[in-house]
Amino acid sequence: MQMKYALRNLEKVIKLFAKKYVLLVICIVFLLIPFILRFNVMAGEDNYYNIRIAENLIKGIYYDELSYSGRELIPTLGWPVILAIFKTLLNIPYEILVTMLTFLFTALSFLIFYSLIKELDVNIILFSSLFLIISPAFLYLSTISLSVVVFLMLLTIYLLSKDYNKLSLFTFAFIPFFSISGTFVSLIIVFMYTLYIKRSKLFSKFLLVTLLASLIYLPFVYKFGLPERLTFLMHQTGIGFALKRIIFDLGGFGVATFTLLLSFLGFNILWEKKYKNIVPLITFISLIISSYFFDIAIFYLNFLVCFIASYGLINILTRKWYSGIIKKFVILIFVSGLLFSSLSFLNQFNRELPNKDIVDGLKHLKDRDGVVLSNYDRGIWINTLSGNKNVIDSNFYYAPDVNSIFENVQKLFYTRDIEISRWIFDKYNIRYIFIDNFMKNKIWEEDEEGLLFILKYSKEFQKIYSKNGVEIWEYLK
Amino acid sequence: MKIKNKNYLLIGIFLFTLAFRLYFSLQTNYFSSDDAYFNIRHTNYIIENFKPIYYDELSYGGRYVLYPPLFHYFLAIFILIPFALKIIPEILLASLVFFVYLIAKEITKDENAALFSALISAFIPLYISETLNQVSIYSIVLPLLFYMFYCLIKLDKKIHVNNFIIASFILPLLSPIAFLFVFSIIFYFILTKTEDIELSKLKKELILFSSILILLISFIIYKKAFLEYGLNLIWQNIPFSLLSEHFRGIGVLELIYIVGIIPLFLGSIAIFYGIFREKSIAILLLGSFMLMGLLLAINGLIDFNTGLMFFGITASIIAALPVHRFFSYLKLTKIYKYKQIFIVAGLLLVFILSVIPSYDVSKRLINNVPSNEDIKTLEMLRDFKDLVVLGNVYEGNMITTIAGKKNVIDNLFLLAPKPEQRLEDVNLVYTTNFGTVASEILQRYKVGYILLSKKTKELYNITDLKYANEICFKKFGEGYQVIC
Repeated sequence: MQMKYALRNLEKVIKLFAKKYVLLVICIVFLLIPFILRFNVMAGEDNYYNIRIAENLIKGIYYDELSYSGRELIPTLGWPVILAIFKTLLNIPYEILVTMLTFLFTALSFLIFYSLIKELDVNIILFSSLFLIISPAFLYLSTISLSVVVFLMLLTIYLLSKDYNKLSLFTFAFIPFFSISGTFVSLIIVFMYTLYIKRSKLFSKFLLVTLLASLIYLPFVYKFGLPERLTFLMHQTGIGFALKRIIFDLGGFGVATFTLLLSFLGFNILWEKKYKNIVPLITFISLIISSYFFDIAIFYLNFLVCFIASYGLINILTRKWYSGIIKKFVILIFVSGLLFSSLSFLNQFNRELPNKDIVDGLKHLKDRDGVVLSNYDRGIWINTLSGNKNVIDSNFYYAPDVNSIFENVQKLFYTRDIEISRWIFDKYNIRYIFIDNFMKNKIWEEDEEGLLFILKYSKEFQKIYSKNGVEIWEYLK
Repeated sequence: MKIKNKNYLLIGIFLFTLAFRLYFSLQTNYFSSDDAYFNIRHTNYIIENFKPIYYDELSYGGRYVLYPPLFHYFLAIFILIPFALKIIPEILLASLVFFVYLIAKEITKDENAALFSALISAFIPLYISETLNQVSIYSIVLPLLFYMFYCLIKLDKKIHVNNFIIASFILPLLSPIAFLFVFSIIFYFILTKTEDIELSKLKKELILFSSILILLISFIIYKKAFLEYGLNLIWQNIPFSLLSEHFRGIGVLELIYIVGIIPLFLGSIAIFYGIFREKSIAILLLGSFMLMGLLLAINGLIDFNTGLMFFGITASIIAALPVHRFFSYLKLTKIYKYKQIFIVAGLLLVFILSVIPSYDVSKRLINNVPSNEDIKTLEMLRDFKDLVVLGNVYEGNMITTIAGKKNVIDNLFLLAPKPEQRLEDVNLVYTTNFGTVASEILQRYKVGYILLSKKTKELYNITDLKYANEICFKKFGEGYQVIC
């Protein structure tokens, strides 16, 4: 009797929490946490780059003067254009604008996700939504410009599900303006979805729209050709790296381990209907493979995994267990695991670079003028925060002479030969060198290795800033 | 209550094993592995501060340490007992015979065969060389692990279910080897599916529970390392030159020598008979563990010797099956009346092929403890202030524990700062002909003393430092003080 009463109460609670606005409030609360943690300093490189390009667009400058000491703008300008429009309209600081927009698009993505599953069982709605809200990849998405691509993609799927085919084509046509890789992965998803709803003929229209929208790149490709093939590795390769990208707990920003485990259980349930559910399974595999190459695929994968994982959890909750205590333990472990991943993400995100010390150091260079050398992953910050030119940054594609620059910078980092160093400094007209502790540990094994030795002992360099592990050196020609 | 004869025999095997182990370990005041000193220092720290070391100021001159601390808390309980660190681990290790007996008996329902398994499991040369006189973590992990297997095989009693649940909590808090257990039971689960063997609902539930629990606890303990190394964590940040030792194939002769021919031969028959003929669930479970231990060891994912040690002990357990089958068959023949001859012959074989090689290994192990002179030198170094001592990679923990001084390198590589570089530098200090080269390295790590122990001389095949007569190095104990 008591058990029945408790179950009825639980059902009531589930129904209450599965309501759109309740879940939206929970979503907003969770999405606010990363912003509160990084209230002073934005994390990552993405936002810094887009802010600077938006600023250029407002000023009517269509050339990037600072990256690689001057280069053409890559025409994926969708996000900087949005920033520029809103900046002109609202005139609020960029940091707040970026935060507001990425937050908004992520919250809207959640609402669309909810709308897509709202016809399903109330338990699926609740658990899928909660898994998504607390997932590291979703929280991370709310801080980067790719949130708009995910939003557009989900909107496309939603419109397709409601038979608004033309409108969905129109929505999809915007994606190429924001991300090339996003367009490619989105096409895979649209293909899978049209297959799933048995309207695969529609896909050819999406393909056509994509091709038409991609014409914006044609003048650029015509003028500059294809990007130079990189002769260096941008990141590690192999299965270890792939897993690291896909699984958050192995060091990336991907899917939480315990959500993934639940999704395997979920797939096990879906597989009972065999080929009826083959499309989600193939989509899952395609997204896993795509995740190796494209960041955006990880975010799409996260939506799918959270959805399937809810089937896994419901199976655990509803199946007949031999031992009640083991059932309780298993549920408790899964819940703890999911929360642990979220907390780990927040902790990790809080420590993400740049930190205040790096920002302060770069702002110190604001009043100075000259090319700044640092590792490529500091290049974008150098441009935006100090307003100075960099030698190299992580936007490698279409960068002028990128392979040779990368090679020379590496040579400079590791040589103790002052002649070679002098030649490279002069070649790229380098005036300042920016080094922080994290970079030191990543690049050099020893305290007096390569460039560090030269900086320490050569009189041609003068330390002009040193605070909390951040050093700025000036090259006195 | 009347204790059965077989139980007397089992207790006899336990006492014999314990006596064998204590006979060797009490011959010396020192320990046979550097890990022992690591465990001693961490236990002492817990006794003084009631919490484990998170930031070790002495290891690598200061670094974060990631290690499950439960074993050190456990040892801390017994620290007041005289010779506790010598006796308690040996008692635990000898107690493994009980768990081996229980599992073997469960598989065969034959007490004699189970006793035979218990006896051969205690005298596997590799097991002896990896655990004797070493305050080894395996002294508690091995009995616990095999008890978990016993519980998983015998789930008909509620106490076994409950104990399995409790043990699943404890195992990951003791050692990262808990992952081996997870891999094994998942592999076992897959094998049962492919072999069309239906597992009980309870067993499936326990496998799921245990796997995710161990995963969660490991994620919590090793979070920092996972973020740092990702999946490369499995290599434990071991320097490449040392890692190559992990990746080695193994020949049959070497396997026979270190695991012992009896467990190997009978274990192989048991695998064949148990899995392919009888489709025994218990043999499948233990076979999965054996295979996983061997696979991970050969691929360098766990320490090579540790993997083979698990392989050998498990082989000893399932060896009971062919023994049981042999005597069952013998019963059908006329020569059964001479069974005593077979038993004596069997025991003789165990003595010749297991006990004698184990005795030989133990003797070598005890002769290989740090010399009195080395220990005395380290004790003398206690009086120096703010000293960094350079020793070989296998003596780092001894330096921090006995001398209480900072080392340059030790064998806990996880989260250690630049271990590859440090290993190269230490190797160079011991092998270079030039004082200037050594001085540059010594200055980098602010080394005040170079320990030139007996083991270091053997390791680098040197009798002295080649630049020892230079002005900057002054002989002090078993090593050189760096004075400029």
